Amino acid sequence: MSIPETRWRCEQFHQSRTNANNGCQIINAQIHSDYEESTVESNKGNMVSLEKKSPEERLNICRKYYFGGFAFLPLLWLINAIWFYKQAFKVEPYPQQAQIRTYVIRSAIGTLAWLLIIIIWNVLFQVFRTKMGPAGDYLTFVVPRGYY
Amino acid sequence: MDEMYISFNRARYCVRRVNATHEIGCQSSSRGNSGRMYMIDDENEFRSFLTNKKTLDSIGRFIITLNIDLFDSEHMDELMTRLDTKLNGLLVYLKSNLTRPKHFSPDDQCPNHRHSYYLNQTQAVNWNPKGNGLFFRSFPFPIMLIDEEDDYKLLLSYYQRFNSSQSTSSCGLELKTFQNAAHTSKTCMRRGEISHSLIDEAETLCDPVGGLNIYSKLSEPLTITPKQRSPKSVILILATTDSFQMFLKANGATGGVQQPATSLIAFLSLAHLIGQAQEDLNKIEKEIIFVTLDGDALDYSGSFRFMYDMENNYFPTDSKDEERIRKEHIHSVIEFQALSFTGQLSESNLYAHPSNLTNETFINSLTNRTSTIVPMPRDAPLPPASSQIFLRQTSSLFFPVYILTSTNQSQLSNHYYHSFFDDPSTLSINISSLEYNTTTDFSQWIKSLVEPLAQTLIETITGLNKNITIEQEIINNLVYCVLKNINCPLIHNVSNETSGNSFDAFDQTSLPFSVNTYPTATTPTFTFVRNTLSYFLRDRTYDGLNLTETACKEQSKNDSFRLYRFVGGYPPSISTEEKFLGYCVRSYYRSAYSSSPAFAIDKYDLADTTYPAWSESRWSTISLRLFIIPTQSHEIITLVIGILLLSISFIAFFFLRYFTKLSLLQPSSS
Repeated sequence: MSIPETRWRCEQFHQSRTNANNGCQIINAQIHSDYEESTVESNKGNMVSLEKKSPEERLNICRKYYFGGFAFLPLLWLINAIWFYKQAFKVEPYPQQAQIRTYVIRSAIGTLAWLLIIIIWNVLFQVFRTKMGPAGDYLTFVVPRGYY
Repeated sequence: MDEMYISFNRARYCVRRVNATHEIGCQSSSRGNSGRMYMIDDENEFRSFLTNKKTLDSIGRFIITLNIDLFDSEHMDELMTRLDTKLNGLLVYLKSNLTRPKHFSPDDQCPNHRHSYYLNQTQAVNWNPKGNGLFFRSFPFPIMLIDEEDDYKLLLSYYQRFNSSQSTSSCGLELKTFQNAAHTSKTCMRRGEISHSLIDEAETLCDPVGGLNIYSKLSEPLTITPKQRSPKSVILILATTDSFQMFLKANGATGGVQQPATSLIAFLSLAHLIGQAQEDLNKIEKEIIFVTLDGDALDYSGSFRFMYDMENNYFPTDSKDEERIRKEHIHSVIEFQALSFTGQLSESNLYAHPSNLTNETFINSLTNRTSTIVPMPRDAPLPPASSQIFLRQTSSLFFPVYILTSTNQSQLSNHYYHSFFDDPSTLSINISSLEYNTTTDFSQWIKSLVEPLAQTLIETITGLNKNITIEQEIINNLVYCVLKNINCPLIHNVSNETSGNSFDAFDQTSLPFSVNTYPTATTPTFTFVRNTLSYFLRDRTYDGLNLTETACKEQSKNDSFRLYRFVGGYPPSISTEEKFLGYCVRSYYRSAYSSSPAFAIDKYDLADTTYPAWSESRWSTISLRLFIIPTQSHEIITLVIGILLLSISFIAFFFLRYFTKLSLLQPSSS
């Protein structure tokens, strides 16, 4: 049954009985646990919850993202830094945390470096595209029509 | 007003062209330039508009509707400096054909001064003194022109209805003339070749200016053996086949009547006269070659290409059996350029240069034969003409040039030089009543011009004094075909069937004279010139042979030098007694591309200014639309009502959901 309908039924129940709160709460609790179960059931395999993984598995994931980012994939580094930030600095220490911490820091540095490179290149291209002569045109993906 | 937009489909528009160093013409944004319309009809309104601070400040973007009498560089400069970025477009109007301005030429005052014979001279002669030079300027906004009277009346009626006071709604115009080209020819051509292979195709942004240079001569009946060409044995007769206008119209009149149509008609008539005298001319070693050049209106591109071909042994093209012609072989050059007819007694002027090479006997006998040709003083500065490039490229050491043109004290007689106003009415021809064989003053004048010239030429070459004449009918037919209807009996009589059928698409249109580009758009010009010229210079002995079509084709198998085609036959030109159903035409003609050497030379840097490098932009849609801009209060009310309706609909739905206990999304259960 869907949630709006059950809420309405709850209210009806509440109006007709004096100590109907209990009944409603029970129904509400039932609904919420049903919902959580169903979501966990259906999302199994999509969303990785780090709390459920063992520390070795966490280190493994972090390492994979760290090395993957070297293949000119700065977004992997960005995600690595953000996702493992809590694990590296906020959670209670555990043996693998030191290594995870170095990976997170280096990923953050790498992201910043890439950001800088991309911004600088973008600005340079926009300013010097026409002054570069043929090189500017060959680098342009969609050649502008009608203006220089 | 029932419709949202009123379209003007017959408007003329200005396009972008680029050369080695600059871009010229007009450009709009890809979605069109729109703004509030403001009409300026005369000088007073112009002055009051520029000083009316209230109007200028209150409106964001203008489309100025300007009377064509005010369209010159001073007014344009004032308007552009005063309005700056608020000027979003310009619409020029012509009230009616009867009130056309007396002079209108968007060309420079000294046409083609960028590449001329007189490059380093300080004092330029202003051959086109009323030229406003606006064609060669670059405008960041679109400019269009309406020349139809009913278009103007419609525009005026809407303007007067809606623009009476500030508070009521006003007219707005949208001009869309988006051009693909930008910057220079080099950039444009380079961008046109960029393609990212699998992802997209290269999209050509602009086309180089150029068409075909066509040449023809008498096809000698003697068998061709490679014989040595003696020096000074070739006489070139020149005419051009192109012009330009600032305002184009698809399927509209292009102008170009005084230049080059008149010259072309005289050129073809001279060709017929030379063809008539072929018996005597064939006995002499000298050749007369008739050449049409295309692309000369823009910095003499065609002439540069012709001289380049000559220097590189490409003239004549595709001729295994002929020795190539070089500058040593040229005896003289005679050119028809910018001929105007101003009345029955109008004269044309003969310029000759350089004075150390010109043949005084020739000039004297020509001017003595007729009073319509007047010689110019020795070493008079030459008017804009293709011959200037012939002299320049040979340092004027090899041959003299003779230019037949219409000037009046160092000014061209053409008031509408290189503009669309250059139409048959300037030749005192009533084009609507012109028939295929009407004898007009103009065609009689052409006859009086070419006959003495042919007689003098023949006398100079052969020494014989022949009183050769051309049938008036032939000139009448040429005038009709070129100026009124290209799909005429003449062209069908001188072309074979497939060639003749290609003219049916151009029925009731005159021969267009515009900027030709390569790849060539469908223009009938080159086919017309080729067929007519080669027919007029045909081997007339074949008129008496009653050959069938297959026999004609057989002839071509043995002869790669000349061309054979089977045509219906043009009666005024055929002098034999017997008339047949069809004639085999043996003729000689060649055609070569006339785009500037800048586009022909391998690895030529298009930014180099040695040769002109003009290209014309490509474009897709052109539109001119009028719409009504509502008043400020009207717009605010519309917005408020809209927001109100939106909120009302949200509220209504909210009420429906929570207070009627109707679940619109789920099926009701139990």
